[in-house]
Amino acid sequence: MSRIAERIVNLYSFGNRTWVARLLLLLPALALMGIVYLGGLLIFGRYSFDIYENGKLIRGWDWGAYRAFLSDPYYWKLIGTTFRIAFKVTLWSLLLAYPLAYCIAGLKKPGMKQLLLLLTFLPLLVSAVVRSYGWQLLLSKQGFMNWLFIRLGLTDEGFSMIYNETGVVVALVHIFLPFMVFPILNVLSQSDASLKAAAQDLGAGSWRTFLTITLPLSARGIASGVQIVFTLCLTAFTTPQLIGGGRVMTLPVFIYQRTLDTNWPMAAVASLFLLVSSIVVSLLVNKGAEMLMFRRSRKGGQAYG
Amino acid sequence: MVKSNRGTKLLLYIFVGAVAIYLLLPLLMIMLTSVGSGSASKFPPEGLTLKWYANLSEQTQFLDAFKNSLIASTGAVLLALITGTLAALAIVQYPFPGSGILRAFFVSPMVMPKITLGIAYLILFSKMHIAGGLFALILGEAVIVLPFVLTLVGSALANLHPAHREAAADLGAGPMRIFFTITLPQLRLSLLLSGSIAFVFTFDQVEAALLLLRQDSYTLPIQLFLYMEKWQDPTIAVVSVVLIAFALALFMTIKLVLRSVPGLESLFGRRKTKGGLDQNE
Repeated sequence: MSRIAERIVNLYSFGNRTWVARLLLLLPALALMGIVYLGGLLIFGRYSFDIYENGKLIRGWDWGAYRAFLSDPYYWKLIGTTFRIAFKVTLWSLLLAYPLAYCIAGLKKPGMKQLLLLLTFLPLLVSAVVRSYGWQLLLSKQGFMNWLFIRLGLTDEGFSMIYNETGVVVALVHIFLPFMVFPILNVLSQSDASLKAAAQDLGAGSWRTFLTITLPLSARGIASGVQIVFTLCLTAFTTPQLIGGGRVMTLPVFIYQRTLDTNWPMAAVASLFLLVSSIVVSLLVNKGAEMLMFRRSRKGGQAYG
Repeated sequence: MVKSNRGTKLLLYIFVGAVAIYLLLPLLMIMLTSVGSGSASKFPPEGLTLKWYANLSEQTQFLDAFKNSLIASTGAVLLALITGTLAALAIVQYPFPGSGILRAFFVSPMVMPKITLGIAYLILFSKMHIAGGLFALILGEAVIVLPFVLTLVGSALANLHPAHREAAADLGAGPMRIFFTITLPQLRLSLLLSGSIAFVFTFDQVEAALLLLRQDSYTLPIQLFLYMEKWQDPTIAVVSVVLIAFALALFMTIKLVLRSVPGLESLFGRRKTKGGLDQNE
């Protein structure tokens, strides 16, 4: 007993026995992460080697699900759809987010700036389910968008925009736009205004200043925005399921459906693929941005040398 | 802004205005639908009515779901705040070989596809015989929001001045006393910030909860999600309006609370604080 008491006393004396203090501090997080997170993932990974036959799960060590996933063209089509949607959404959010971030960063009036910031981030506070519902209302056959298009004379009986890829892309851009605006706004408002002023003093027009100064300086922000939005899109589930209505099959929707019919091996393999591909995409975008920055800085060095 | 082209600037403003409309349109459409009579997906609505709001009081499942959401989110946020702050203390104040790897492990749920986590939880908690209830969801969601706490509190801790702690230690305060009187008060802002981000995040969580919960413990997003898959009536619009109002109220409260916390302005770089205590320069 006295030894335990001694330990506790030592624990309270600063600098001594920091290992015990460290461990005690880490213990709650380690327990939570070790049991719930790591434990869950390990058990889940174990299921990827089971065999699924005629609606039944058979315990075993088998590569069947992996082999099926990588060889069947159906799954490649699924992967293709998922990546195509993620690519489209990322491109569109970049096109919409950049001018918005540029405008917010350039505004001098605090009132206008606050309003635009609120507009950008308000949707973020509202559940993805609610926003998907809003898009369902807008895009449905008798909804607002078709009403508008018919009024404008673009179509006679309306486009079908829901339960297909277009609808999913439009809604996903809305959901993920703030994640693209924020990193770009961050670099734009940090970048040195004197560089812009210098370029303009040297006679560069506003377009030239933008292309040679502002755009290259914001490459970092664009890269992290692309990274966030692309990986979020790859793993997005709620919106493709609700707007796609089961007709737009992406990997997360597929995983959900396999879980419902307890085909856990296939769900596990598809999830693993999703995880690995989002990590690979992040690394590639990072690498790409780094290479771009490196090239630029070398060029700069030559110009000065 | 020495020479700026008027035309391009006007074009930019028009474009930004259009983007703003795009951002607001779904929310406006939900509000309109909630007061429209007739079918939800038809525009323009045939007439205006408040009957769907009156109808809401009969839909007790949404109220129960809201309560469940509050319990689950609060529980998960508290759990993440406690475990995350303690872990951040260990990692930042007593760094050790491998602490970087541990940190990366704690932050890794951020990149994990949420649907994967949802299914992993389902299998794990079924084995532990706690699947279906809110307790399982709280554990699962705490893992998902732990990264927010760890990164925000961790960076705040790294910015704290060690002299304060050293002075307290020299004056004879033990580590516990130092934590509660010196460190914790300086962390309140990042605790509040990470707590509110985590709360908003868990409140909307669908993937982790969808497969895990049983009918009597559905949270609000799950209830809405399943309702939407089956029916298409304006009741969802009414619930959505209430949710939007809740989000706005939450936002305003956080903003008010943050404004009353000294030192925030300097954190966002608006104004420098008068006292020399803050290190956020």
